[in-house]
Amino acid sequence: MTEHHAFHVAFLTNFSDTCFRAIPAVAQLCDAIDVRLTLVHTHDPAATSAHAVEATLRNFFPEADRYAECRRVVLPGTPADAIRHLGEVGPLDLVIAPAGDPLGFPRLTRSSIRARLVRDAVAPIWTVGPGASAALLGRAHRHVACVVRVGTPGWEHVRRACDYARAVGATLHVIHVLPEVHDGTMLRLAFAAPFDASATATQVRAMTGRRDIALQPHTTSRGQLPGVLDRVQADIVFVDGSHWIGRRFLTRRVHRGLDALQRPVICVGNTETRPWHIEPRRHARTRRWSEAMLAPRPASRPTPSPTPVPVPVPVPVPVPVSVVAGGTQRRMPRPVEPAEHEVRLAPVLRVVPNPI
Amino acid sequence: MRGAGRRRPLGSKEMIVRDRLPLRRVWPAISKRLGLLFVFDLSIAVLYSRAGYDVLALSSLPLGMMGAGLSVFLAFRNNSAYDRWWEARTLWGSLVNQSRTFVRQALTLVDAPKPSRSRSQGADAEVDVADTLVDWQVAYVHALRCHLRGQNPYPELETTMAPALVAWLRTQRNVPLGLLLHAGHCLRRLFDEGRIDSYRLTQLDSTLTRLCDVQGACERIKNTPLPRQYEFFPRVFVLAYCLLLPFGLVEGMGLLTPLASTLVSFIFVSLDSIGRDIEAPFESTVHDTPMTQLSHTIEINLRDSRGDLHVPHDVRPIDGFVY
Repeated sequence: MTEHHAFHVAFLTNFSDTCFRAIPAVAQLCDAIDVRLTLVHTHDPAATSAHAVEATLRNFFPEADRYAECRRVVLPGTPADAIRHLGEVGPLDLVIAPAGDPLGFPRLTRSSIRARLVRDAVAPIWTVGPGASAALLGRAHRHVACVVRVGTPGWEHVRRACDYARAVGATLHVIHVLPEVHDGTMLRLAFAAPFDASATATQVRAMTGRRDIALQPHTTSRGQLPGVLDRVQADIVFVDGSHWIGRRFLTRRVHRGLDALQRPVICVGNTETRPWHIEPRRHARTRRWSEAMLAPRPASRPTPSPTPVPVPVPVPVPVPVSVVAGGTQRRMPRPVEPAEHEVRLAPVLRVVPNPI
Repeated sequence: MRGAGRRRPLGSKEMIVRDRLPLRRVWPAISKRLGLLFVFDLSIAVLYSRAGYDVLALSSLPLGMMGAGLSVFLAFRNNSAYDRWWEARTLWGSLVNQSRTFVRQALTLVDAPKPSRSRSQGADAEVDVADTLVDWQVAYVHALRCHLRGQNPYPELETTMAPALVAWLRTQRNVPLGLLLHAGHCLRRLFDEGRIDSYRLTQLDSTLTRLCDVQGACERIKNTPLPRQYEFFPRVFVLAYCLLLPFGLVEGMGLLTPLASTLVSFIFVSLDSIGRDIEAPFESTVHDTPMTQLSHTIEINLRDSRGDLHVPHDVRPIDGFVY
């Protein structure tokens, strides 16, 4: 009997416009699959107090407090350190890291945080650029695209794309991106033959062992990729992360083309990370209104617990962690300690149940 | 108990934005255009002053007239955009009032269950009606916010509404409208049970109608963008004016032309950018109507009215913006 683990998603936020814009996508994800959501913000302890940062984080995405499983974590240090730390403390399946606010100046010395996260590859990175439209981000995922570069061995992202497409019941579009060719070469023709539709479908099915995925193979060049994604109405794109980060001067950057896709992208590294066990949420649907709907809300609604529930942690936590619950409890006997709804957690990670 | 003692009433100064708009919120949107214009202005100034291209100097009179016309056009466009933003905010203010009204009516106009009903059912039924109507109104507000932002409302609704209702709502394309219908059914049942008379039913139903009006007006703003001419021509005219500006200034200002020209361009480009930011008030940006904050305020008010033990905390601004 296999033990069920919720799909653990860490939403890394620096309160940029894109982070706010990404909220509908996170809500969609939480409805599609069984997600345990952690909102993460990092800060420099020398510059800002933890209390101020916690208060700010509490005001970000406040509706998540009503979600089945949601917690807020403030960590000192860099985002990459925070994600690495979360990965050590417990299983981490996906990191949501939208783009930060643009500076309006060239970043000559500062590396991209997203590039660092993709390189570290603690977990696949979900990201989106500043240009993505809100309507697209809030859409249910019916078409999942997976970008494969011809001649490269990385297939981990294809495997994950298959898992995800199966879980949400979407069509998987495998899109082969040909390498850049020069005028006069016949490379495109050379590659076209082995990558016809049936060959691709056979290859992916053989690799993933799944026959229940609707596959739609396509072939394109990298410059035309946004157009192809528009044509297939891709709601989310899986890519091999190592192909989309590179160096520019002294910094490591995410390839500009990634944000030009204008839709959510999941960058999967080639290193071994925790395999996904995505549990789709099966929703009941009733066409007709009935008197039974006048019943009050379910009795099993989460009730606030005066004391935090300790979660055993396999390794000691090296840095202090604070978990901030979302709601305020009123007219109830106050717990003695830890006070209020924020708990400093070191060395044991404690989770405060959602009071709503 | 952090939120209970510090709660401020709706309408406090923090609700909109702080006094100073951080430049880093504005600069990235216009930096690329301004940078390119500066380079262009500099090249014109150098060509005129150092290379002796006198033909680059134009009379500044047409530019002055063009600038005046463009200012009027931009002001008109921005005024239209602001009207949309303000109407959206007004509608949500009306939603706050109507929600409070509906819950007040539900809590005060609905009679207790009749004693002829079974005793075990009676007390529960009274609580159930209040619960259902207050929970319904809270859910409606959150569902409307999600509906306007294109956000999935079900993760929120599942923890506050009956599973059967959520299952039914999943079949509805317009979830807030489904919730209105549900409230109508609820009122009809109360009427059938004799717990409200026809006059009170009319009052409650008229509140539902006003809520439906608010929703319809919000959807009108959401689904009807500003005419595309308002989107396209200001950008083109601003670009044309900014490109022509150094030709009119270079004769008098020489090598200082890029500074003056970029400063004037900054004004026009900013005006263009401001209008673009606020013309769509339901688009999930930091510039839109603060629906998250308002819906939380409504929920706090309604749960307070019912005497709930657990209410959410206030939503405070982040970096000067409420969302």
